[in-house]
Amino acid sequence: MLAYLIVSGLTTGSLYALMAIGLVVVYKATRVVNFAHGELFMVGGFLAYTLHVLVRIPYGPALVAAVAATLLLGLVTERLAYRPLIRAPAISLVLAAVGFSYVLRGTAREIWGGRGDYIPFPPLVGAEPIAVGDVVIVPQQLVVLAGALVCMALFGAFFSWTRAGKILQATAENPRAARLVGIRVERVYAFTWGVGAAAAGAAAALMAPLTLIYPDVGAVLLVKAFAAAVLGGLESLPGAVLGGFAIGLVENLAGGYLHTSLQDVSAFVVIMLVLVAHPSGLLGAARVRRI
Amino acid sequence: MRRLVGRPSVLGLALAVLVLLPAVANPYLVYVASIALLYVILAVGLNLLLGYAGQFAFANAALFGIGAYATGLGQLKLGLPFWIALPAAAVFTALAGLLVALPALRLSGLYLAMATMAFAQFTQWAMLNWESVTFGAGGFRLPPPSFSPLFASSATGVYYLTLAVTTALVAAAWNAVRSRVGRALVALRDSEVAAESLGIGLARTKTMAFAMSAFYAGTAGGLYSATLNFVAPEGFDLFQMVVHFSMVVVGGLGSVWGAVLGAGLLVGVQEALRAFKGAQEIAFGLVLMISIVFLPEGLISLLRRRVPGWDEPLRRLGAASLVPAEVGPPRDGSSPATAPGAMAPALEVRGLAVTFGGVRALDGVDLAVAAGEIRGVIGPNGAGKTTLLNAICGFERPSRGEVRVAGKSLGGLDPSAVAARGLRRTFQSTQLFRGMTALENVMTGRHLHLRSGPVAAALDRPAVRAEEVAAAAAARRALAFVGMEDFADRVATELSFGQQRLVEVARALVAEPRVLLLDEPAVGLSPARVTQFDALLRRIRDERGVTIVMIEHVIRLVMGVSDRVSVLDYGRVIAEGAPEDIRRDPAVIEAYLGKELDARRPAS
Repeated sequence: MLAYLIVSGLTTGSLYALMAIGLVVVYKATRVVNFAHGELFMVGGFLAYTLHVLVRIPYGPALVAAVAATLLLGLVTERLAYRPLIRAPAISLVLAAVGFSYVLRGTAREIWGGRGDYIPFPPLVGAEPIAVGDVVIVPQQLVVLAGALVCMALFGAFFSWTRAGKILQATAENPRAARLVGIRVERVYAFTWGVGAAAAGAAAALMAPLTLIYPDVGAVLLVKAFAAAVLGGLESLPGAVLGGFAIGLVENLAGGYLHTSLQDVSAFVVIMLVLVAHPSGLLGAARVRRI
Repeated sequence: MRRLVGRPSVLGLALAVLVLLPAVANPYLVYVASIALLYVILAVGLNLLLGYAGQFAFANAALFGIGAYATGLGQLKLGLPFWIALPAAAVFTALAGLLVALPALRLSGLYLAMATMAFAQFTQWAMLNWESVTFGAGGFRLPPPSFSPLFASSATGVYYLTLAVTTALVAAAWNAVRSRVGRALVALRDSEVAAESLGIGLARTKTMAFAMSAFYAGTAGGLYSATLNFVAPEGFDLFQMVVHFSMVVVGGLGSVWGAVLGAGLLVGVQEALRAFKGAQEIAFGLVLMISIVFLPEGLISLLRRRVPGWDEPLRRLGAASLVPAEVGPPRDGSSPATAPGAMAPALEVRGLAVTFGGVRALDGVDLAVAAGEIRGVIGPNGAGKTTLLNAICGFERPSRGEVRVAGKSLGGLDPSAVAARGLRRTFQSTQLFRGMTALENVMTGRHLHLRSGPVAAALDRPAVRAEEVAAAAAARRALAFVGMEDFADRVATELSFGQQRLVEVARALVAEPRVLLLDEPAVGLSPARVTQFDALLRRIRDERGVTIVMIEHVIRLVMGVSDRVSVLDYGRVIAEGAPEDIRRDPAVIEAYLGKELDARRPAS
């Protein structure tokens, strides 16, 4: 029981972590939480489904195509809901993204099906559960977990070792200085939104075989991903990963041992406790008041 | 003739239409109007919190639900009549709002958003799962409240009740935002540190904002339950916040009338879109995006432009006619500055130490400033000058030592309590409230001199009005004192840097402080302005009797105007004395002034 809950907790946790990474990447650079992030996941999942299940393209290329498509959508989000509003109050930026997410959700409903239609996505590997000792694991969970870890590693490597990653970090750190050394800050912002969205696309393509993709999946997932990002401190990629896994585990353990109705609330109890003790998340820098 | 289209006529017309509506419209339209009206209450309440106080919280939908449940359950479980259940539920919801305010005292920005989302999730969970009280997911029906002698139909009765309550609560909010209460909320939004420095308690003001907004949400929820005669968890979940926020932002952030417009419009749009079925979401999303991008200040900006005299934030007192004739400065140079040192020092600092991690920013500072003195504090960068000022004003906790004002210890008070002892400060990076005019900024400086609380302000009591007129007069005098009277009605962001500095000084002076602390007031000023500033400082001391402590890098100003100068280096006072002695002090020359003075000194 415990081992099973931990494995499934880690699996959902890796989904939250990947989603939270996308949010954090955009937040670090632009100080904005992309409230359309959940819908980017949803669209990515539907695209992977369409390509792989309906058009029968092999999974690998379908995944790449879904990631590329969400990257493009991220660029569109930036163009419509961020760039025209750069100087607007935070709440306006949030709502513009929410407006865009409504458009995406309505469009998905028109194309892929109405309220409550769930679509089947065949597992990538044998559907037979494996018994490891007395723990039963669905192979797909291992695939997802591995895939998520690879994605996180790729993101880490991108930020630490590539030129583009360093430009992103420099811009996040100090946009004015970045501009002075010749970085085109606007392009970097656009690129950040694209990269963040791509993370959502990758998460969707990986998770599609395990979860159900439906037009309303985005909103719920966004709340969880936002929770993971805040828990981790909003600006830290390792924090987002930590937050994602923590929330996945807490949810599964509370749902399994206490009561199923507690599954969704339990994570928020933990978050409240963490924020009361440490108002800027687990790995967030303490805020300094400048006078 | 021009006044025919002013705010009163627009509002009067709207009200007349609403009163006549049930006579001419079908029941469905009356129902939609009821819903729109109660959403007006909700949106106005949310705007107080989000638009005025700047608190980004997601608890509103949950509080709306708490109001609906409390009204319904009060009738079903406690057997209360509707007339008692509704106001009781509103008060209960305001108390729940205090609960939401608790995390806000420690968190801000997105962390606060998260904590309030958690509150929303708990509430939803309780509605769904605490079945013995809430009846679970299916919800419960309510008997329609009876208005029997007045109206035959309960729906008509509920409509008129909602209209009356909405009118009263919108008027109350409009009164409140134009008073001391509204200024405190906006001060909190625009600069927490400046608000504190003027004596506006953060905890108190935030709590008040949350409770007010929750009271509005609870009232709306109660009316919602009476309109639907049915209460269930859906409609109160976290995702409803999208609709609530949209009303405020589409209508106009930080505008009572904007929230009214936004709520009316969005309820209408949602009803109209029901016909579109599938495309409903797409259309709503597009409306939202288009209005935010093309009307960034909300629908209300259209009215502000079109309707003459639709002047908003707190500018009612902007008309000069309301200000009584000049009565001269309060203390006309009665020279409280008698022989320095004769009485207890106005400001005394003993052994003050502040450490950041392992760094000793202040290492036992002693300072005694006599009443009526102008004291300059100089020192190289990083010497601890601003830290000293922050520690005096309560913005930093000293690790040891104490601060006394007129002989009384401040013993670890927070900044707003320090302000109440008669200390005022300005900031190195000027901290005006961006959304206010110069006059409103300075009036906010009178915060501690005014008494009216939220209830009195909402009722627009004569005492409140008199207080406001007096505050505006005092603020105008203070602006005139610094030579900024012609800019009283300019919004802070329209002022030049130097002008902002002067307004900030006026905002500190208007409180008639005992001690005024200035943090590099001459930074970025032109040489001509510095000369003006020199004269202003002397007048503040001579005419207003204010003791001045000034941190400054512009040596010409410090040496010219100060009675005594203290030199800080590495968190210690290394010298203190008259300006000319300081110029010659070898320790000072070595630490700080050395080269410059050497170069200027005539070869002897």
